[in-house]
Amino acid sequence: MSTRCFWLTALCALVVLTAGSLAAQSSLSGTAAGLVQNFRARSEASGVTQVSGTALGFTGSLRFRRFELGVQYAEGTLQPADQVSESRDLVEGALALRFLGTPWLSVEMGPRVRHYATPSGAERWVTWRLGGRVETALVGTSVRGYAMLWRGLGLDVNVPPGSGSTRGGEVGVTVNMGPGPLWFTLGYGIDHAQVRDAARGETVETLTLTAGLRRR
Amino acid sequence: MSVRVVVLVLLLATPLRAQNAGGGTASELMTGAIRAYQDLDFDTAARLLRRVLTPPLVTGLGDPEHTRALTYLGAAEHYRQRHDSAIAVFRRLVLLAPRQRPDTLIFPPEITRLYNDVRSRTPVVAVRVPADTAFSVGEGGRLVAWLYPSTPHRVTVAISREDGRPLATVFTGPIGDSLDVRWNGRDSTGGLATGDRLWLTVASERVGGARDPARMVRIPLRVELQGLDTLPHPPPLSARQLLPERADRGSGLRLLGGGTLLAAAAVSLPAILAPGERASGTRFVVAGALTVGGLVGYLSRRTGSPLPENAAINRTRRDAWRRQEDTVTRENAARIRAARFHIHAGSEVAVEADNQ
Repeated sequence: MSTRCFWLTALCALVVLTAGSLAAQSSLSGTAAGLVQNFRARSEASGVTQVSGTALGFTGSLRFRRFELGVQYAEGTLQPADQVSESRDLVEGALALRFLGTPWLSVEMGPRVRHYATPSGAERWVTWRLGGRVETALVGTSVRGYAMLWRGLGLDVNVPPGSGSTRGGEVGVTVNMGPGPLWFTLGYGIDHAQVRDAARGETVETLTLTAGLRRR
Repeated sequence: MSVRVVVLVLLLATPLRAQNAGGGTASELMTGAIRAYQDLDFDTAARLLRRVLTPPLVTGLGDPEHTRALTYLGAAEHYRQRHDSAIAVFRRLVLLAPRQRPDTLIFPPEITRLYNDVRSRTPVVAVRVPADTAFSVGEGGRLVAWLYPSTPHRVTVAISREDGRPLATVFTGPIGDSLDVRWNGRDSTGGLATGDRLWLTVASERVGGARDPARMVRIPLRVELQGLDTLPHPPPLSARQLLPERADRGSGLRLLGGGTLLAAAAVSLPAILAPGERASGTRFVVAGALTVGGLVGYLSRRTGSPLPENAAINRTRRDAWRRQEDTVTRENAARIRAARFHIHAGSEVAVEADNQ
């Protein structure tokens, strides 16, 4: 994990823990977690390019009654599958505002920015997502499964400049360690983007392991 | 013409004159009776005083004149050697005015001694209540009643409904020279008194230890509670609003189904979102975890086993209901504190216990 990522994780944890102390007096609650992500991207333009690698980052959320604000950040280095193409540095950040309609159903909306840095230049994908998430208990209150589907309201790519459509989803399992604040999540996500003007598509798969703390 | 008018006036005046000639006004009769008493003509004094104390003249007497007439009559009967009559008259005097004492400058010690003897054997209380009392429930206001006994004895002061059912006991105990009792407008359970027509009852116990009431004084009260508009309490949670907290036969299968469904979603996610793409095998890791989770849930969820997640949801719903209930209770308490009692007291009515 880079120094920048470490400090961002520490800042996020501090914010969540501060919010947690406030939660004792209000209906504010929050989570803070670190994550390890196996990232795998496949791009189709003139040819097919596959890159994969591991990213590290953090995620956190603050919840006030039925509304929740979530952030996620990860960065890492992706290596090409053909061992010939150049490697990329990945930085990804997302912000989402969620509305928890019921204990098992929520909807969310927010931007996600994916940034690839290569020696030949930077490539940035900005997606505005709108999605829904369902959740169900599997083993008591300690193990829960979830599934999420989202659709891009807008996609903006800078190299080559263009817009298009995108959609994605994630399925995973969350384990709460007893009555304590510790929790783990293992999730599989996939999203597919199609840049209309440039006849270019990209599919990204992620396997994310998250470990965090929750303050109620 | 004028002669006819004069005759008519004379005819009309004759009965009135005849009536007055037979006795005069109550005041004139009182003056005559007292003069006769002072001249030691006790028979005449008693006769005149009995006329004064008989309707219609007695209805025009004020309390001071009434007590004065009874005092002179009791003394006159004593000197006429009619001891029982004297006692009966003094008893009437005690009931009418328990605090009244014969003037020792006018009446000799034998009369005051007889009166005191009668008074000590006739426990009764005079009650004075303000005609109108207003107080706020929250400010700790009270209806105050002042009690003046004829003789030290035990009394019970209570508030009762119009039909006689008791509402609150305000005081029970001995009364000496005087006593003021206070009622806060609440019944014996602490609730606000309802029913606009109530009675303030003062029961005097017999002298000598008998617990039965000898006499009662009742004062009608009209109680108005203004500004009391409380909120209805939320209805209690019904069984349909709460989730089962014990597993039934299908709950384990639902967990297994949920885990399997999510696992299937994980496996088929690439086909749904990116058809034609060759997806990696990482999704099977998650699908496997979900399947195992569902299986563990199924195996751990036997019929009758506790459902902590449902219990947690029920707890949340009960807490929300309790918060709502507390809010209504607090609001109602504030409204009750702001409510005002207006109590109008009527004239006291003396009731002999034996006549009940």
